[in-house]
Amino acid sequence: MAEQVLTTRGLTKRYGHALAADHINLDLERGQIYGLVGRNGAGKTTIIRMITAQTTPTEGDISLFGAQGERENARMRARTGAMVETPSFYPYLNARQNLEYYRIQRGIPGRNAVDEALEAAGLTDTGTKPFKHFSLGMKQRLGLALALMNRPDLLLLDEPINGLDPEGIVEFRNLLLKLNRDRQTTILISSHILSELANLATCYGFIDHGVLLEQISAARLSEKCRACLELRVDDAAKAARVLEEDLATRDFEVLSPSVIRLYSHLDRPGEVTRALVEAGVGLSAVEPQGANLEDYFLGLIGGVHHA
Amino acid sequence: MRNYLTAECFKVFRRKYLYVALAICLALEGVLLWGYWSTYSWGNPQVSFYSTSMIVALLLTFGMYATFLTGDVVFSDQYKHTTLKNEVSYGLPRERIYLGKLLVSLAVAVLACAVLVGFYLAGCWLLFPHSGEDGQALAAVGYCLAGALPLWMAAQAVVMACYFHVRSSTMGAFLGVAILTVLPSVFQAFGILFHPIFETLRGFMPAVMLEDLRNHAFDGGYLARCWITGLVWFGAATGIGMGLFQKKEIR
Repeated sequence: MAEQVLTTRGLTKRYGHALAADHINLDLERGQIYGLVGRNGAGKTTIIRMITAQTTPTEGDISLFGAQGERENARMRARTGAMVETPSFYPYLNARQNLEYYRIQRGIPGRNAVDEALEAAGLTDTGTKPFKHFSLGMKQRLGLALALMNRPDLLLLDEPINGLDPEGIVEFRNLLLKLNRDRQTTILISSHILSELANLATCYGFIDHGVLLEQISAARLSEKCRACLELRVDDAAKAARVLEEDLATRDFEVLSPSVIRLYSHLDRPGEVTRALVEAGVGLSAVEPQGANLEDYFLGLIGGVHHA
Repeated sequence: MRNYLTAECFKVFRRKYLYVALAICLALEGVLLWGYWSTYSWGNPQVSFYSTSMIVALLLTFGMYATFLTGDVVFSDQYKHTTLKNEVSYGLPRERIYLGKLLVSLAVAVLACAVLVGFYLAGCWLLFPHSGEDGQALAAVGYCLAGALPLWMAAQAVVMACYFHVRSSTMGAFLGVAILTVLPSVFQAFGILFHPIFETLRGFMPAVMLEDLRNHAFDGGYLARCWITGLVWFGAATGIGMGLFQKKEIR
């Protein structure tokens, strides 16, 4: 059984009457890259801030690496690396001095930990330039270097690619994938840039208005978002027989007595229509379907808003 | 805790602010010494090591105000730069963060005090004539410093509690000034208007005790009162500050 790295149960944060996070149940297993998807203000940062003890939950429990209670969680936080909101450092210190400060403070042995972290984040050539003169991208990289310095088992990253240039985004993605592959680092990454998460995540949590709408594996999501032809027929059983016998395909799903999703023949809808009509199946619509992560998310929150 | 203190020292002693503030204070002391030396060189017989060194006793309240600077040097606008989250998210206990910064600010204050008082006394010693009263002057300065130390510690604890609790360092400093210097005047007014108890309370304010210290030279009882009062203030301010910081939302 995979090690449970992070579990939250009923995690709730209330600011006055506003619910920033509403009974959130998260489960992260070792080696997962968990994409927390939501719009700005959906509650992603609040959840990460509760996990990192920056704010106290109004209700609910957090368990890091199976720890029981806040005292044990506090010890386990030394196994995590976090980058929450904008990277924050002392403006008058340079990159190396800032990391050295935190290395000493955290008792991380070996001065080469700083060099390794800077190299991993692609920030080796900043010299004596103080943090206050860094570009946004450089600040993000330094934030990542700090999060990596203790070789964490769990990385908590809140909107980490904000401010990175396209090259930086690719490097960053590759770095996370490498950490995940080589060190089995578990990653919780929040973003509203869904195309980036789609390249990384092995699991998703969709959040809106503080409510975790759905947790789903990347494999299952990709299945749900798979491109298909949606056939609206009068008799799905009869249509299924036609697809099997006349079009020689079993790559379809019968969703209801009148709806079939066909995953083959995507470029030949005319052939499908002809076969069904010739077999006497009443066909009312043939629609190409399929969604990317963005469409799926929008569909999810749209559904909730309409509910 | 040792790692935390070492890291804070690493940060503080790489900050220009500390050296600039020290340099300004040393320059002001230089101006004071130059002023005395000018009058001495014009033939003023009153200027001696004894008379000039005793000025230290008049500047004790200045030491209390200096705690705003030493506190600021160490606290480093944590809320403005949002750097506290890096410490909290790593699981460092909040009491370690609070006490670590307080202890380093005290160490910086003691160091700055040693440099400033040492520079001034050394200047007096080198520039002005000596007499048989030199020992008495040094003893009086020593007494004043011994009495002022716990009261400065109390002020430092109040200032740090304000910096930790108020998100703006400027507003934190204002709150500190209000507690340390405005409150005694309020107590004085209340003492006249409402009840003498307020006047008694005023007598236990660090700023008032620092002002009175030079009038109680070599009074062991007053020295003990300074230590007890200073430590009570220190403990209370630290306890309240740390308690509030435990639940503080870090951004």
